[in-house]
Amino acid sequence: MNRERRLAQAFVVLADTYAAEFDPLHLFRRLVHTCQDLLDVDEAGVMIADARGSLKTMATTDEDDVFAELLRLQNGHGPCVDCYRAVEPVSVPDMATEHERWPKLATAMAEAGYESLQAVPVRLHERPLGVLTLLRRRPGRLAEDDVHLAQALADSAALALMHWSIEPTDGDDVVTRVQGVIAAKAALEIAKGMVAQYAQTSIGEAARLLSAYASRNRIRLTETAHALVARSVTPADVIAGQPRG
Amino acid sequence: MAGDDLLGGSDPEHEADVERARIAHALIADLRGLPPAEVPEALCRSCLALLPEVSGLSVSVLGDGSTGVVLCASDDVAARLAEIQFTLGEGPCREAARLHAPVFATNLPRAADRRRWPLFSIQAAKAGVEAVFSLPLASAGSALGTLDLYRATPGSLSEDRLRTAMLVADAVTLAVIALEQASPDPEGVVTWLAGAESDREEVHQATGMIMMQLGVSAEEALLRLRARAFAQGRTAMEVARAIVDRSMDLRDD
Repeated sequence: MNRERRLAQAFVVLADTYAAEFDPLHLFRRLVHTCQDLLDVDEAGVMIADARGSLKTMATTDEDDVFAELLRLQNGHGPCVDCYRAVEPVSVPDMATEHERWPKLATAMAEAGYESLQAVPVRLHERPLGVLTLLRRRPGRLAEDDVHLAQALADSAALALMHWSIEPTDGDDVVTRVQGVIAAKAALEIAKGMVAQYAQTSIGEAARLLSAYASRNRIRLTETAHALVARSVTPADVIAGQPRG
Repeated sequence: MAGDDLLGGSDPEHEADVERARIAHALIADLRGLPPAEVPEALCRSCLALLPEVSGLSVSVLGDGSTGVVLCASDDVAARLAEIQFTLGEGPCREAARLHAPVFATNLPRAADRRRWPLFSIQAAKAGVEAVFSLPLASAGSALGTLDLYRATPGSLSEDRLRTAMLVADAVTLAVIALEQASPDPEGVVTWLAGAESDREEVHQATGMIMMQLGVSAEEALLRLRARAFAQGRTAMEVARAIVDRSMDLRDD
């Protein structure tokens, strides 16, 4: 399939909130993987603003959480936070020249092998919901077309988040939706810990096992996470039937 | 708009930390030294003082299934609102508990809210209430109950008010957990409040690991993590990191 067709398909998939398996956590995973597949970037991650005032990581292409740690390091100061606050894209073509501005982030990015960053706001009309961050292993500004595409994909995901229910929505429901996904993400992190402990493996590997279980059984990841926390599904169930590595 | 006040160069995360500390200090000052039986009512009064824009509030705790208990209410209207939602099986507090997310009915006389909660909206109107805000008491992947605010007039909460209300709900969650521990130690509630920390990925991951290590529920696992942090004079975040990287194991007790 050529890029244009894959792109058209990506928009349809992101916007399809009426599918039975629609899952807000999966929506953000789709968003970052679509960016990684279709744009000239190495990794993608998305953060959503908690009503308490912090940005929370919802999904990254890198399950081992190196990226999540880079996002966390910004702790109120950094290009992703700037992008969220200004509701404008922020481009950092060469992180190596930004040591004075963001010393921790520049050092951590260099250690992880990333050289440039592009952030685009995730917004609902003009209301900021979060930020989509794209990382590259080489310096340079991301092509204008790719920035626009990233923005369009982020906007589609934000709209899909609002439409996922058949219930009526208004401005106050945005908070309900956003906080609902943040709560689902918290349950997913607990479920990862349960599987990691049971299988004596890393959090990243536990994340992969959980995704594989959810997609193999056609159960939403959100439901899988809640079922584990409520103990109606056990980590043994998640491990059982995994293809032998 | 969210962006406007943030553009002033303020740091929302830092502001939230300052606000969280202010709330913890206020609650600690009001609850310190009280016998456990008197804590719920004092908690209600203290929360109301922190949320001056609301007319009244209640705290409900969920039992098994769909039952719930009103732990405390600042006035009769607040108590009645909570009770009718449990009786009718309908209303924002039921949804907030189910969705683990805040649910707002900002204009109950209006058609949109009436359609969404046909029974509750009529009962609320009879009680003279035009807006309710239900916030889940969220802990370790589940909702223990709700903090329910009401106003006699319609309208949304501003972004700042919403943040304060969410942080008050976090503090109430910790207080409710401490109360449920039925600790004979009257300082129990105060201790937990002082150890309040915002939810972090590592804390959730460590909670899941402790559940498997000790064969306990998510709530109990989080309590054990906090207890270890308190005993060692470390933050919950530091202990969580040590558990996730496997340099600490709570089975070693």
